[in-house]
Amino acid sequence: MKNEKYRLDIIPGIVLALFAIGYLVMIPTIKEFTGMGATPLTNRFVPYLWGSVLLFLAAWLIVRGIRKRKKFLAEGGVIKKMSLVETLKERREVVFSFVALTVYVAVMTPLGFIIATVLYVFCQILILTPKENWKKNYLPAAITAVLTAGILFYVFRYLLNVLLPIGVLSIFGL
Amino acid sequence: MILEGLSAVLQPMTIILVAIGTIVGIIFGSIPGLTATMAIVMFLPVTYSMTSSQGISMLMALYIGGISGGLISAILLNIPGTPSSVATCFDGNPLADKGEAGKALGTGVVFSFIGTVIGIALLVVLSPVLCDFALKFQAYEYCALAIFSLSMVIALTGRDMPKGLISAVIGTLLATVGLSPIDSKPRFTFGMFQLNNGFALVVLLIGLFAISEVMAYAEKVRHAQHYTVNKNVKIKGVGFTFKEFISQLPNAIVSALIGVGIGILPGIGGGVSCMISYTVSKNTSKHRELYGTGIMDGVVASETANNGTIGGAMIPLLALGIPGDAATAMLLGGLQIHNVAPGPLIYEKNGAVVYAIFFAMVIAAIFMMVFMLFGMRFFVSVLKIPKNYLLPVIVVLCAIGAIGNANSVFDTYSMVAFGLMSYLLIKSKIPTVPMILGFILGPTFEQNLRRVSQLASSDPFYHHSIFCVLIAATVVVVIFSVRANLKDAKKADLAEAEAMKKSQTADE
Amino acid sequence: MKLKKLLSLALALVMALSLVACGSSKTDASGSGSDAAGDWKPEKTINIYMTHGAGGDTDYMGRQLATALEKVLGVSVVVTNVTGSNGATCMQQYKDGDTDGYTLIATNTAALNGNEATNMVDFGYDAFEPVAVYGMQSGENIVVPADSPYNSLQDLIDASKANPGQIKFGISTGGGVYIQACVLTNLGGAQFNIIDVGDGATRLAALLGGEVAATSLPYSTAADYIANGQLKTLATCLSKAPDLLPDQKAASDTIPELVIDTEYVLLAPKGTPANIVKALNDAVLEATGTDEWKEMVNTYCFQNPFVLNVEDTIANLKEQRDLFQSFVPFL
Repeated sequence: MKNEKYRLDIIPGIVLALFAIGYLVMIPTIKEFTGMGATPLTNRFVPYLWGSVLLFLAAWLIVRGIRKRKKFLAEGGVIKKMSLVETLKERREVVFSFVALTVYVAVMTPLGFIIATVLYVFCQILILTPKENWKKNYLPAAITAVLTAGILFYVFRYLLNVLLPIGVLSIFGL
Repeated sequence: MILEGLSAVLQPMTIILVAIGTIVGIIFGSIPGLTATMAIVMFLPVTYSMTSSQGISMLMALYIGGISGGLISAILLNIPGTPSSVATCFDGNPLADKGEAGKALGTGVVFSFIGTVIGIALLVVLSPVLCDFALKFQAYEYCALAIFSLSMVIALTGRDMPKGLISAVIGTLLATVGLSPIDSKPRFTFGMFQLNNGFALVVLLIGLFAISEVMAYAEKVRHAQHYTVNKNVKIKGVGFTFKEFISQLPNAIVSALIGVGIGILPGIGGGVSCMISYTVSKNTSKHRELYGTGIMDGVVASETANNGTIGGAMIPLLALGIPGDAATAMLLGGLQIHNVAPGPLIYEKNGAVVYAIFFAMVIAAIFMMVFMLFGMRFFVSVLKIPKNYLLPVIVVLCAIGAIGNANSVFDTYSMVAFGLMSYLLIKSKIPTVPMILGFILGPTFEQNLRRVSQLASSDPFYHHSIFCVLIAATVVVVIFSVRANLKDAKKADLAEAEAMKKSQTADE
Repeated sequence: MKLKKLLSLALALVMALSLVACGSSKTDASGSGSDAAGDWKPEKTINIYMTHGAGGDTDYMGRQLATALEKVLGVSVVVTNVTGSNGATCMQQYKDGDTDGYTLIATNTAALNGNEATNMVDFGYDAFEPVAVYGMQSGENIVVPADSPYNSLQDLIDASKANPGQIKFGISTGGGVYIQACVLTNLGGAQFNIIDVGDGATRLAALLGGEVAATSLPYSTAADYIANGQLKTLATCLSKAPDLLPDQKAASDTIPELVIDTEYVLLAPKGTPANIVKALNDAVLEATGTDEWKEMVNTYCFQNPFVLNVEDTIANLKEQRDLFQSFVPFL
């Protein structure tokens, strides 16, 4: 029996089509340059071109998905309901990883690189470790987090002059 | 003059600086998020206080080391260390997964060296001729070249053509964010001035490869650990036999020429050269179906080409003063600061320095090979570090790379967004690699298409033979790859149906 | 495994020590920040944010100044590149930066005034406290191939009038060259076919490859080609020829408004106290008064040192801004 592959066409197809429409709708807000030496094809032309191509390809995906779905039903396939909550729960480590990452970059400026990195590395290591092994990993994870943050901050901020944010640690005059 | 150049390089201090530069370059290249360009940017100010041959030698070493180092993480972690090693992942990582990390690394290193040397040889011998060729490339030619290179996407995507194309088009859309080429008007920036510069390639690369690798691991945390240290890390010599080496030579030479050719043309760069060379190698091979499963040919094609690009990019830089990519633009600045003015008079005015550059490049290439071959044992030990520890640290390094790219924290937000996008695309079975091509070539295409629109009235296209040839070649490539894809798809469908039948009969 | 632990311990120790070390040296300094005494003296690292990338002339001059300032001020002066949008990114980010004298911005006047004139940003030099103009660029030259029939800017303009839209002039839209082309057209009456060909290096390639008949290039880019007889310069866009290249004709002889004097300038965020600005300007004047500086500027910019005090800097910037603003109607 053919598996439910059509979902992988229809859903991305719809999302991409919406994205392409949003993109195309925004194009008229771009200021065109009409001064001297302006090119006959303006700065809106290529966005229109690619936006339309994406819309076309997304439509292609949707049509292909619908066809697959019909074929699937004709072959006696039964559509299984998929719950978003279930899927997310099944992939909770991925969700947590993205949350951790988002929080990491969000607090980087206020807290500073060092604190944000210590927290992030520690959490991310635990997220990537099966729960039953957490106990064994608390200490190594903490050490890794502190070392990573400290060494990298020192090397890049002071030796290579990258503007890693200092954040609240600035009160120590770092 | 040649001897003068040689003696300038053969001083202990210069050699030490070349060695340091090579090592630093390899480190920058191998760490995802840090690139060869960044290594040059960060060390350029350090070279201001050196003598000209010392400074320039070190910069060359950083460049060569940086481009070569990218293969390490591409092969071992499936995360390209630099844009130039994207295509190295395709076969390098599967090869390592098969337990032949040593062979993959050895192949990458040795052919990186060969690519570099072929590039340098062409740089030394054919510079003037190739410069004339490069000058023929103007708006029309670049426009056609971008179209031609974009058509490679079809060959790259494999059987699911619309999804491959979608990926490439998303790349071109992402590249339209920021100030428009030519007239610098903000597009899709939502009023955020941080978006005026558009997205950086390295940030996209981090999102597409590094973050998605973390997520792929995260998915498997509670399941059987596929990622346990299962890789055979035995290394014998350079990892491959002399016979294998000989059999790869034709592939290597073609790839090196592609690499040099793309290097000569300003504005395209190693990220494209490795992918085009990989595609060409695949489509001209007798066993194209094996590409992507972990064969030497793929690693050879990618690594020879991206290192060939170094020599290629140096040709217009030295002989015309025209830099081909971000890294060579930095080198141009470095040269000018040391009172070496690249251009037609460089041999007359700074002949000794030019030869010093050549020798420094050769020495750096040798150092690169030696360090990396000896370092292989050490590199593979990365595989022994548990991934749940390694990946978070890599993410932090990527964040630093994103911040360091323009000294702004804003790029880390883009990094997370690209990571999320990449994850969703991968879940939708949309390949992410064509996006890189679209992202790099989109702006080249747009800029030159618009210039062509300006020229078309006074300078019709049929006056441009290279343009016509490239467009014709594009048509041929498209037809052939579409046919090949359809054939592959049919074959795969048949195989699938067969397999399904078998499993059904087994069920019954 | 043991070795690894040992190694990590050692690393931790080294790191801890170094953190303590730099921590203590910094806290000492920041204790007595910016007292409003007459002659302000910096006590910790000064950060200069550079609007243009490493390798360019603006970056080079900024770093040379930083090195010279270190000797005068006795503290480290660190240059960090924050690039993008012809310097607009950096200026936007740091124009409201810390006003304690430890945050400075280095840029060039063409970017500062040009971005305002072309509407890339909505602020000009008066959004900053200018510290000093500290150098003059070798200038942009209007160049043609050596075998072209035009021997002066007037020839070129006349030829374009005789064949309207036939002579291709290569520009980079929005940049200094664009402003030159606008002035040539609107005030000089030239009728070129204006073609966008991109930055200095690609304009050079387009001129050599014959895609355009004339363009404008930084002197340093064109110098070798002029020397070996492939290109010839018709005029410099500086108000007068560079000090070390006195034979060059000035474009302003043909079109009085065609003057683009790109200078290197050091700025402080708005609100930086006047005494600090004055102290920094004094330091710049002292740092650039050496023979070493003169030699560097001579070889790199083909100019003699050109450094202004605070009042002259502001007057100079105002004059340039007014000129750029006068171009606005036809940009």
